[in-house]
Amino acid sequence: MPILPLKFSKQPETAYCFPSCLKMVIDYAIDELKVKQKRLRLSSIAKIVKTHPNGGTAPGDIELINAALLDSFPEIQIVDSKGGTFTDIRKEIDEEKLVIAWIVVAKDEEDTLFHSIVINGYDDNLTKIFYVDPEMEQNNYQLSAPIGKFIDEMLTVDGHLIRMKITIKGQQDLFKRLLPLKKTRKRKDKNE
Amino acid sequence: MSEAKSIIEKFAEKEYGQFIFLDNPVYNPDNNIYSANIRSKIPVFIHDDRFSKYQVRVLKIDSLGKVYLNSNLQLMTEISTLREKCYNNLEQMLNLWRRRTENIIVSATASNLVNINDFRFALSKFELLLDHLERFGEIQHIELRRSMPSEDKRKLPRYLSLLEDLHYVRQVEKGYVPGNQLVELEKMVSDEEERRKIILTNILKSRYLTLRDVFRLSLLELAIKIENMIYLPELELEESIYQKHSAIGRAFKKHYKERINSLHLTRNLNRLEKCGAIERDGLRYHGIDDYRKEMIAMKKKLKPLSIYSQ
Repeated sequence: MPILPLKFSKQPETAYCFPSCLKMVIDYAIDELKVKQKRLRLSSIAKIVKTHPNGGTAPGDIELINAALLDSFPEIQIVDSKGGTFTDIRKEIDEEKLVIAWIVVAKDEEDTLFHSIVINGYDDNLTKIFYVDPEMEQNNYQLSAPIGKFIDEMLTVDGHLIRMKITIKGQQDLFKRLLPLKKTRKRKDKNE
Repeated sequence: MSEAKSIIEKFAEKEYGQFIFLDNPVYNPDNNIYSANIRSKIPVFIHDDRFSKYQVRVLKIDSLGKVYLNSNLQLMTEISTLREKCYNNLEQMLNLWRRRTENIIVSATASNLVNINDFRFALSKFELLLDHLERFGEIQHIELRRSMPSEDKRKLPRYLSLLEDLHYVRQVEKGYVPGNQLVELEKMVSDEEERRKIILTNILKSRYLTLRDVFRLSLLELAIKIENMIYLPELELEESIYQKHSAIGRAFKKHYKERINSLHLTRNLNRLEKCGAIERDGLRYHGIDDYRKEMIAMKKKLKPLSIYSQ
């Protein structure tokens, strides 16, 4: 499986990891999946999901971004789920969709501290997961980790997987968009 | 209790960011109220420009406020620390964290900093007063007014007050005479320049915040903020961190929410390096081992960061 290409967005503040990841995912949808959607600034995304420059993003606010994606065509939505498996990640990557993961950066007996990254691939031998870390620099943002380490130590059962979903409306949009193309193709076939 | 915990957890998930945590609620039978302490743990990403990976340390803030539930397990919004207030408290605590390290840094490297020419210039009004005091044994009130530029006339009482506070001068009816500290120092150190350095070092060490906020010596502030960007990550990791000019500039913007001009950054790094407060290895700057150890020892004596004293 190739590594999905994306436009890197560096987090300007420690707490802006999630908005930076969202920006990468939305830009990817626009650039690579050809979704019609207004490009959003990092500051706008942070405002929509109520990220505080020091306090971070509330887990309950993750899906607030969907309000800004209602006019996307085909319609895309962001779906948050606690925990996640490699099968979930693999399914998304196979569908050429990026996945945001809230991974553990520090943990003690009381609390788990999360940081957002974007998963953009896995290798064919199922040994590595490729991901982009918004805390890194422009010249070395592409990272990888052994799958076992990533799933059990970084994502863990407490982490979040945040996926991009094409909604039913979006699928209908996509169908409508593709239908004229299919009809044209059928006509062409008949003519031939 | 588990129901109260579950209600508070659900509330927190929607109200606070990922770096805010809540303790288990505690029930107070006197007023039938549950309260849960709000804490924060913030990841500090530390980049050493010699390596491609960063390291993470956690900054803990023990208390940012409380969430209360009444006996019906309803949220008491009027007395709970809600999102905005909680974030304001967090901001205050982070400022305190930065100010604390600035203070520690000044304390540990003050004797180097006073060797910077511009620092000496910023502190020159102290020298103006001390020179005269040592030569003539007194400064008369009239001397502080006669033919004195109006700005100095206005400012010198502040400088004298600070010197008096540190017992370098003593007020008498006619004006000022050497205080106990200055008399003792004159007995112990015969070299005048040496004495000046000791006094200025002590002023900087013990009154940095006053110099910054009351005397508004902004020149000191910028250099110390830059020095803070070198030592702050080192104090978290307790080892030397090598940082390039550009990384220091970025860290400055991140911490102080203001950009620094590249030329001014270079100039200040140069000054700090020349006075021996920091070191440079090629293009990378880092702290000095002995100073870092001293700073770590000072840091360990500080109370935990908390909006409420516990």
